[in-house]
Amino acid sequence: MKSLPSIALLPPDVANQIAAGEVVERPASIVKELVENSLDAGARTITVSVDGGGLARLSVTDDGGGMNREDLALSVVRHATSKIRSAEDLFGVASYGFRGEALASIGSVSRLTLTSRTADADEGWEVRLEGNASPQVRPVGCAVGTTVTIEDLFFNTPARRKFLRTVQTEWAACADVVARLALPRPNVRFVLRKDGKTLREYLRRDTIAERVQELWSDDTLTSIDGYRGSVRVQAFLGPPERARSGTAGIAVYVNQRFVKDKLLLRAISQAYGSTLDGGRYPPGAMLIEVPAAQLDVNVHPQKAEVRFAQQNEVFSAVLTLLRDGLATAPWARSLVGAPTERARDDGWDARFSGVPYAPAPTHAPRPYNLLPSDLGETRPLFERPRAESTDAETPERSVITAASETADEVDPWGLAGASIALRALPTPDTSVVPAPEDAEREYSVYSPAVSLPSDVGLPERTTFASLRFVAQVRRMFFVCETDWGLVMLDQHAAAERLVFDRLRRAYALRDVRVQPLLVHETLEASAREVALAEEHRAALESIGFELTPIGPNTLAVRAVPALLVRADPRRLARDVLAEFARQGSDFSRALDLVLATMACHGSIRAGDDVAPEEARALLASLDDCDFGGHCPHGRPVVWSMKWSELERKVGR
Amino acid sequence: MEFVVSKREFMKALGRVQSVADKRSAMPVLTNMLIASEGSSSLRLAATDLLISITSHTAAEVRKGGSVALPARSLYEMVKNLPEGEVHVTIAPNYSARVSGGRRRYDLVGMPGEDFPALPSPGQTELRDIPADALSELVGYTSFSMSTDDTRPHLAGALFEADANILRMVTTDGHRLSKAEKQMTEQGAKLSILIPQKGINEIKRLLDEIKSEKSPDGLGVVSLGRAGSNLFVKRDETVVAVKLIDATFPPYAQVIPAASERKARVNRAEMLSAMRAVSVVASDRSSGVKLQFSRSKLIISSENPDLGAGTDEMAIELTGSDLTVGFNSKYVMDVLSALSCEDVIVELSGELDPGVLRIPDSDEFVGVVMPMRI
Ligand SMILES: Nc1ncnc2c1ncn2[C@@H]1O[C@H](COP(=O)(O)OP(=O)(O)O)[C@@H](O)[C@H]1O
Ligand SMILES: [Mg+2]
Repeated sequence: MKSLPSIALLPPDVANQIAAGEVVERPASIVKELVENSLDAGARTITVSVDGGGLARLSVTDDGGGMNREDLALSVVRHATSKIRSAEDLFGVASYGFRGEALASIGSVSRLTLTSRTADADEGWEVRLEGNASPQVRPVGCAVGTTVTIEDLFFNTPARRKFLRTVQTEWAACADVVARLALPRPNVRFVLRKDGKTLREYLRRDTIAERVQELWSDDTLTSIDGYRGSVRVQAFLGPPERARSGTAGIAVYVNQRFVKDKLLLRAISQAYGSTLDGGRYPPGAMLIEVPAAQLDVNVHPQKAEVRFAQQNEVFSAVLTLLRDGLATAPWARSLVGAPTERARDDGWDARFSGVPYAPAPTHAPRPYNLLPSDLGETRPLFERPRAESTDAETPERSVITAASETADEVDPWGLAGASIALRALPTPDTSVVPAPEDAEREYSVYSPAVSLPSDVGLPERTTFASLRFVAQVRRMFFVCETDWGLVMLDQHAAAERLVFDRLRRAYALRDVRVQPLLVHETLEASAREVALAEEHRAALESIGFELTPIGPNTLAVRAVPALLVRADPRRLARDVLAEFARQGSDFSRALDLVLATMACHGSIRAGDDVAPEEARALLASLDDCDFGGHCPHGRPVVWSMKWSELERKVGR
Repeated sequence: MEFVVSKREFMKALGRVQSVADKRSAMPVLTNMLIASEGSSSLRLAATDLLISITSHTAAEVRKGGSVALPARSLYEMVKNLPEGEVHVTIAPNYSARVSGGRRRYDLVGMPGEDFPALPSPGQTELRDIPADALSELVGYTSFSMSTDDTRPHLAGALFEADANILRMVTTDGHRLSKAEKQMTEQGAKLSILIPQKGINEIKRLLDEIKSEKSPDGLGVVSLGRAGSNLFVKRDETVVAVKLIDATFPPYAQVIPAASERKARVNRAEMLSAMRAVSVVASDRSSGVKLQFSRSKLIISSENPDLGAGTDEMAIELTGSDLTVGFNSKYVMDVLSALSCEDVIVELSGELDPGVLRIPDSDEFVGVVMPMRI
């Protein structure tokens, strides 16, 4: 008689196959795991080869750190990982991998070969896994780095094979995954090969913006880059008329990890306000960065979900930054024609139109409450004088995109098709939409990716020193007069920009003036912050800081940059350390962001009363700085309006 | 309520209190001032922003007692525009005030006096009399080096200490420190409090008003003391109450160098004018000036890579060896302009050690300034 089955531990091979079900759905998911491993290993070049849609053969080669013999043998064992050691490490994971199950899982459903060599070894090692057979290790000659080859995927799980789609579809999915992984890592070169031919290559770039350009060559995306608190948001988002239903066209990253996060998606759709119907998303990408310690990435086997320790802060930071940023998009500017709507929104000329004056919570315009009946108005409220020369004859703007003809042409996220669908903007006169290339050429901007609205910055021959300061309003803006019109400046952003520039210049000249403190300030710090301060001591000194550990959890601030004597040394130090923590150890990359953080502290803030003399001195100094009309975080600083425009507005 | 008061006396009292009424307050009642009768011949006027409260009295003919809260700024402007002579004020049962003088007349909407927040009172606390000129000097010698950053309350104010026969005021913003002391002939109660920046400003205003009286008998005295969490400063009919800072002032004595290797005697006005002249070249307030001290002269110079350079020199007497040191020019100029003596003593040790400025042959003032690395 057979007894009823009782509970038993599964044999490891069965467990691996079940896990494989979660991690390995199709070739593209293997490409994702392997490329992430290569990125974790510090690769500078990653080559992905896909044969027969990845079902016949799939390999990923990198030039990263590689593995020695022992590690190689261990790497294919389930829950073997070099990336975390304990459960505590799960918070603040900086690597893509940490579960240690990808290689074991993949090995259990394919024939897997790993070859690897570390830089200090004379020869490499190879390990082969075939289904559930035990691994074989042998020496081989190979370059430094790692190659993982997968053959005969799902040879032992025929049921899975049935779920796969055509070779062409699987290939396209693999290519999508590579593009998706390449986006947040511009300093890594990616080569994508199909059936022996190189089809794509993403070169090494300095910025994500350049990588985005390389991936999409799409000039309708609005670039946004800014900070709020400890949250950084970078986004490249298309106009609402190109939105599609579902999230396929939008890529969202948290700390360089691609995620499907409802909260962040909601922030995006809210930022578009009523211009987007529910469930539709614009094409593009958004990358946010939060301190690693505030992020739990161990929520989902494919790591596609994350959890924020401070979800509300993240949401509102993202929403505000996107709103502010999108307000400058050409499409948003052409949509805000309706003068009363707009006037009410930014509270600027409400007093003249009899609308009750209610200060908006932020000074950024929120131009999205478009009423169809208001479409008659065709010009933006503010306009840069020279925009008049734009070609007004063109009745509508058409974008011609090369259709993807060859089957081999890969269009990550299928955007090419979407851009053909760009309709004429819902205004009869589109002359006010500046060609983005035009805007980009005209100004030198700190962040090369910021796209400029028509009225940001000053016309070429106007200097800041020539502006006649009229008044400070709402303790937030300077109102100035010129011969040709009215100019308004965001006082904090302008002051910040100036301090930033001075700091950067002083740094470049190695002439950062240091003000040692008479009364040292001490601050409670985490062990990590203390370690950071020690590790970056020289870098901190080069920018004018002296931070000395005086206990396991205490730092003393002994000196600050002389330009920032107004700032609270403790908060300043803390923010600078946070910036270092966010940027990792690459100081040259962190420098501008650190300086921007510092500048923010040393500046006149919104809400500060500014005496006329001080305002004039500030204006006079702005000409010397590499200004471009933006604060160091990339927000616009200056708005202007021609007298003729004002006269037209008031019906003269 | 009804009273008659001389315009001139009323204006004085209104002027004293109206500036405290908080124009931007979220509590509408704080934009008002309280007027209450005290007996048949006196009015009490008060205003507060909850940090500072000022109460003043003025003589008046009270025809009908009571109290009312009226918009401070508007009332002041109205009374100012009435002809000289008597001002007649009647409060209707709905708290609207009729303010008239000659043939001019204003109506002003008010609130019941009971709605006005209760103001701190010194109660039974005994106040200590101190000469107004001594207090004025303490404030003048130190108020410039307070921090203006309210988020750092321990620095955004002045430490005021009274020992048996010494009064002391100390301020620091973390980069520099000023300490002033006055010897008292009369003994008094001990005190150690931290007065917020805003309170110091209000005390300054009170002292300025006393000075403007130009009484031939000198400035007289003010009485001062602490009750609960408030400092009270009283002069005649006016009482200023200041909510004190509840924080610990840095241990200032440690910061003042006990000895120095070099001492220079410098003409104060000459040094001040040289510093001003030379810092024209500095690109902003944070750029330092260089001071080169040698046996018989001091060279003051400043360099700005974008603009050029400036320099000036003067004769001094130095004991000790030559030294070059950089300072934030504003910090040094602030000290020099707060003093009124002919010469100052500059004490220095190393180029990175704090510099000290003093009045020759006097312990009344010590200014410590941290040098800059340039
Ligand atoms: N391309 C590679 N270069 C160097 N080491 C690698 C590479 N791929 C995998 N490894 C090593 O093998 C281990 C197991 O990999 P994996 O199964 O993907 O788990 P995880 O990435 O979650 O740690 C990794 O922790 C790493 O040490
Ligand atoms: Mg992995």
